Amino acid sequence: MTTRAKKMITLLLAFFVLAAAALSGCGKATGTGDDDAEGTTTKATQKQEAQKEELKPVKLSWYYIGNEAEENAPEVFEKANEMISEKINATVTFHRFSFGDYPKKMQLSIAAQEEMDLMFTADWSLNYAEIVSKGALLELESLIDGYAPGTKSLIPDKIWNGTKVAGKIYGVPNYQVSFRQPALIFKKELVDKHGLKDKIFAVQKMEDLTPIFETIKANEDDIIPTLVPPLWQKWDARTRDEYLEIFIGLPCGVNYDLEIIDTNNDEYFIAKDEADYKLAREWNEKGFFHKDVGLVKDFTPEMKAGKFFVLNDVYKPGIESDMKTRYGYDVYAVPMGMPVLSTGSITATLTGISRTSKNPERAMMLIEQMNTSKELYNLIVFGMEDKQYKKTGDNRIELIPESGYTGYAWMMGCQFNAYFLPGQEDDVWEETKRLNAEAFEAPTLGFVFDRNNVKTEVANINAVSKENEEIKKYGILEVDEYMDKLEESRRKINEAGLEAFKKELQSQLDVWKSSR
Amino acid sequence: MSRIAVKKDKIKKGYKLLGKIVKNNYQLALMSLPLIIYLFIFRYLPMVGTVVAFKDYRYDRGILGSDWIGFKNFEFFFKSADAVRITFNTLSYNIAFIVLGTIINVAIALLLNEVYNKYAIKLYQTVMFIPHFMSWVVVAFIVYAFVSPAYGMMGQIQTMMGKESVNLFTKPELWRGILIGTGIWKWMGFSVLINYAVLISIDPSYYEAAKIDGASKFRIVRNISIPFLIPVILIQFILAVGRIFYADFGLFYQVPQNAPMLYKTTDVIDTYVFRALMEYGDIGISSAVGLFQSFVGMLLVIAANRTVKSIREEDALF
Repeated sequence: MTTRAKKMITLLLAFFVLAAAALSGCGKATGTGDDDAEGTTTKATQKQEAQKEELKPVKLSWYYIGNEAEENAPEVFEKANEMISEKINATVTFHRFSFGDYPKKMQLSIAAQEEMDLMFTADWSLNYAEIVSKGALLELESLIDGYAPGTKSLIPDKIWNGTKVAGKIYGVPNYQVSFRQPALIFKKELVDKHGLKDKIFAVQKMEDLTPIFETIKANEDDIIPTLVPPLWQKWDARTRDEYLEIFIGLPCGVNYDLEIIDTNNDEYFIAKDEADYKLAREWNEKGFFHKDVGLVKDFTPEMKAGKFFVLNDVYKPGIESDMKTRYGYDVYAVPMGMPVLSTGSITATLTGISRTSKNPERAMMLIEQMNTSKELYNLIVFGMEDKQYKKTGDNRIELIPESGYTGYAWMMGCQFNAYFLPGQEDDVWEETKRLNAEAFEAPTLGFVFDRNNVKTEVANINAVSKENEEIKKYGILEVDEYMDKLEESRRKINEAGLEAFKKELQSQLDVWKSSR
Repeated sequence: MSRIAVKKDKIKKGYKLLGKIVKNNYQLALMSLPLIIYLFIFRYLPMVGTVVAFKDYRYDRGILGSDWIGFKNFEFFFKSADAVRITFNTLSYNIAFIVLGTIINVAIALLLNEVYNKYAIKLYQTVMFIPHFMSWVVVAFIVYAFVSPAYGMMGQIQTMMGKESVNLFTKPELWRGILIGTGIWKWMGFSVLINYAVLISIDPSYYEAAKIDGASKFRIVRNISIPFLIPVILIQFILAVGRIFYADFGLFYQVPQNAPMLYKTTDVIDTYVFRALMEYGDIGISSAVGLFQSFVGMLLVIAANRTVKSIREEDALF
C-alpha cells in the first residue's frame, strides 16, 4: 500500500473517532430550559410597602428536586412570581431536576462557577457538609438576622444548631419533622385480607417478619413480599446502648458516650452483621425479594403498581396520606428503630444561597417569604386551587390526580403552613412538634465530619464497601461464599486506611467537644 | 552580483515558494480548519485544566487560586486496595480486544471480499454497522434482555428445557466472555469497514496473476491480501495501545448493570474511579487519575511506535 493511502486511512480513522466523540459530547448537553417558568414582567402597579420602593427589580434562580417537565408548571410558577414580585420585587426562575440527576448536575454547575441564587442541599443528595467545605455556599447568619427575622424565630435554636458547620450556618432547614425514624410501609389491603394487622404492629425485629412474609408468599402469587432488606442497625436498634452514629457511610461509628466504635473489626458487630446476612439469605432463598435486586436501581414503576407488600420510608405523623399520594394505595406505617434527632436528620432538607449569587439579600427575603407566607408556600407545594387541588375545608384540601404539577412539602419553607391532606389529622403538626421535642437527641448533634484530610482513604474505603453492599443487603450469595468475601473485604477496608480515618474522626471529635 | 543581491534574490525565491505552497494547499488547509478548531477547543484548551490534579480545588478560590498540594491527589489510585485488580482487568480486556478483535475483524473483511453479490455485501455491512450507532445504554438493555434473572431469555430457555435457570449475575467468571463478545460485536462494523476498504483498493491484477499461476485461495490471502492489510492493522494497533489504560466506561458500567457481584471481573479503572468519587465529585482526584492514564498511554504509544519502526520502518505512525 502506498504511503498516501496509509495517511488517508489514518486521517479517516482520526476523523471517525473525533466525530464519535463530538456526537457523544453533544448528547450529554444538559437541558435546563424545559421547566423554566418565564418570569412575569407585570409589575405590581401599586406599591404597597415602603420597603418595596427601595428594592430594584432583580432576577433570582432556584434549583431543587422535582419533576423536570410538567405541563402546568409554567402556570404555577407564573402565579408564584406575581406574588413574589409584589412582595420583594423579584422574579424567580425555578429549575427542577429529578432525584437522580440533581446531585450530578448541581456538582457540575457549582464547579463551573455558574451564577445561581438558591439551591436545595441535604445530607443524602448534594452533600451539605461537602459543598460547604469546598466553599460553594454563603454563610447566612447575618443575612438571616437582617432579612429573615420571621424564619429565625420560627425555627428552634436546637435545630439551627444542627445546621452549623464549624459554628456557622450555611443552610435554612425546611421546618418539619426534624428527627429520623425508619418505618415499614405495609400494603393495607393485603394486611386486612390476611388478618395480619396485630402481627405487623407487634414486629420488634426484622426476623419477626419472616412468618408474615411466608403467609403472603403462600397466598399471593403476584406480590413480592419485601423491598426492604434486614439491616439491624437501622431497624432493630431500639435502645441508647445500641445507638451508633455512622459518618459518611463508613464502617465506623460513634456511640452514645462519644466513643468511636470500629464496626469493621469489632467482634460483636461482626457477629451482628453475620446474623443479618443469614436472615437476608433465608429471605432470598424463600423468594421474598424481587429477583432483580442488586441490578435494577429504580423500582418506582413496580412500587406504584403495588407489587410490593412492604416498602420503607421515614416515619412522621400523617405519613399514610403521603404514601397514598405517592403510590396510590392505602398503607399501614409501622415505626421501627429509634426516633433520632441528629446533625444528619436536621440537614436532611436545607436551602442554601450560592456563593455565586448576585443578590443574596433578596434570596434570603425569598426564603423568608416561603416560611411566612402560607399562600406562597402552598402554591409552590400543591399548585393552584381547582386546578391542582380542591378545597374541602377551611384548611383542608384534596389533590386532583394528573394535574400536571407536583411539589414536595418537605423540600422548602415551613411544612407547618401546609394544608391538610385526606388522612392527616387536624393536630398532625402539633403531634409532629411534640415528637420533635421528644426525639432521642444524638450525642453528636451539631458535629459535622470534614473529610478533606482523609479523602483518599474515604474514597477507597467507600469503593470497597460498596462492592459488597447489595450482596449483603439481599443475601445474593451462599452464606459460606459470602463469609469468605466479607473477610476479604474487611481486610481490604483496613488496608484502605480505616485507621487513618478513625484518627481523623477522633481528633475532629475532640476539637468539637472542647468547643462546645 | 553582489552578495546582498544574492541574498535578496534568495528571500524573494523563498517568498515565492511559500506563496506556491499556500496556493497549492490552501483548500486542504481550509478543509482541516474545523477539525483544528475542534481539536484546539476540546483537546488543547482543557489541558490547562489538568493543573487541578495538583491542587486542592475549592469552588470559592477557583482553579488558579486553590492551594498546590503536589502529588497528593495521585495517592488515591496507588493506595487503593484494588489497584492490582483493576489494572489487571483493564489491561487484559484491552489486550483481548486488540488480539481477538483484530483476528475476527480481518477474517470477516477477508470473507466479505469473497462475496460478489452487491446486495449481499451491503446487507452484511449494514447489519454489522448497526451496533456502532447504538448507545451503550441501549446495548446494555439488549444484553439484559438475555441475562436478567427475572425476565431473561436465557433463564426462560433453560426453564423450558427443564433445567434450573442459572443467575448469571452470581457468576463473575462468565462475564469476561460476555463483555469481550459484546465489545467486539459493537465495534466490529467499523473495523471491518476499514479493513475491507483496503482490500477492495488492491489492484485486481495481483489476484489475476496469482490465479493464472494456480495459487489456492489460502495462498492468495496469505501472500496478497494480508501483506496489504498489515500497515492498516499496525495503525489500528498503535492507536489501540495508546488507550490500553482506558476502559470503555459504557461497556463496563452499563452492560453488567454495575452489579457489585461481578466486580471481580468487570471492575476497571474507569468504573472504580467513578464509584469511589461519584458521591463527592472530587475533581482533583478524578483529574489526577485521568492524567495518569493519559501519561501512561502516551508512553505506550511512543514505545509501540518505536517497536513497529524497528521492525518495519515504513509502517510506523510517526
